[in-house]
Amino acid sequence: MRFLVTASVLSIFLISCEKTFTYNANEIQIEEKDRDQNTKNLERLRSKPQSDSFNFVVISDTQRFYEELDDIVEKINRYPDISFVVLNGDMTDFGLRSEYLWTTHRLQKLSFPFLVVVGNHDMLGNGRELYKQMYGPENFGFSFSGYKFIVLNSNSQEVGHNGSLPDTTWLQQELSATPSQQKIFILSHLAPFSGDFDRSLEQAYVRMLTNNGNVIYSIHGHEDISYLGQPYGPPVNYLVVNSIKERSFVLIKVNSNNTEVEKVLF
Amino acid sequence: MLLFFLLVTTEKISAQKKGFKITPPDHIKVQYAGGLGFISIGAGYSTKNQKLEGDLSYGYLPKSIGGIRIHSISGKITWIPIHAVSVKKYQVEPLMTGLIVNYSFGKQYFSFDPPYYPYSYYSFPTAIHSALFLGSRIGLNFPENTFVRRVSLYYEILSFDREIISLVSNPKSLHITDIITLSLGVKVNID
Repeated sequence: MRFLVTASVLSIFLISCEKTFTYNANEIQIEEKDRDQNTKNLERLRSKPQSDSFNFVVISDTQRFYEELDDIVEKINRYPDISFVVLNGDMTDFGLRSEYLWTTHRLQKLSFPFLVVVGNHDMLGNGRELYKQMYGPENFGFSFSGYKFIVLNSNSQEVGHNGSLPDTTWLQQELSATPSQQKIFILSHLAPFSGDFDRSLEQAYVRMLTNNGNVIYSIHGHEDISYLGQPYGPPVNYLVVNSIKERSFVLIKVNSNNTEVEKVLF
Repeated sequence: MLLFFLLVTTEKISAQKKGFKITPPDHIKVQYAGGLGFISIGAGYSTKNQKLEGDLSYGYLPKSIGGIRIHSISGKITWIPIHAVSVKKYQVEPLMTGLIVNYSFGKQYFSFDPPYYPYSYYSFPTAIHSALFLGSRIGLNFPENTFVRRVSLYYEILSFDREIISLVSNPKSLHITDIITLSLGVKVNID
């Protein structure tokens, strides 16, 4: 009798479970619908009408805060006029496939295109490979409404501060290739002033941004604080977006005259 | 793992008292999925009262199935709290429960934080994953004098440590079906 009960429980489980079999906690097999999310969302973004004033949202460090993530998706979807949403790194806590899927399936409920920046936690175990398959390249740039956005892997500590992250050579090329009339936003998980950033690259990074002249914001996460300032002097603003565990996100309103940064509590 | 080795050592000591040098395992297991690999093969010992068993296994996950090739070893402790029910040649073990500890080989995983992280930066080992399970088993008994004493089929419903933690901190957003997964296996009791 007990066996029959467990057997029927088992059959229900087999039907209802999303991932019936797990071969290893570190496995990374991914279905087509969850692949290349950044690439697919950039296509969605390209088909959107462009105008010289637009809004975008930055959230960060969603890690293991799925309830907050569900709430934030619902809150953002109530806005009528968001061009895109950026999750600025640490979409997982342990870099596992199950977490990548949990977070991605929640982001897929957003009414707006979304982009994910790689965070240090997302690189744990096979995380770096998962990010590559599910989101695409770690470093990439795109233009929207006459602005340039540069996304960068700045998680130096995950490679033992070996000088390879952030890839300053790539960044310099991307900055140089940007037309001079385009203002630039940079998005990466670790700020150059973060304790976990590669000290040997801090000055190079800062100089590159300052000397470029078109970079207006360098936007980060990781620190579990909210910060906006010019710690290295004008003209570059450094913005640190708090973890969603503090139930806040940042709304950035861009127009031809100025850029407003608004912290929204939810 | 520690419990398993204790179990093995105890078995060995009792065996030595009887004048044997080493006791061969009393069962082998071949398992599909359940965090031990695409396919895993293991062997282990049971206590005399058949309430507790410990296994050590090697598991393989090919890239074509798991997206990446993973070699791993696992220790498993199974507790069988309810007596087996025998019907003719068949034996049903309605409930077994226990703990799995899996170690994945690979330079991308760590058991302890690598030296380039500040002390205790990540408080979990990416190479080691544990899981809790519940399951049942049905077996066919063979005649007393055969080398193979019993062949059983089993399933386990299991959940990994980090997924349990995720569920506990997100009871409204995650559901039990998000964190449970299934294994199927064959246990062969040998003489």
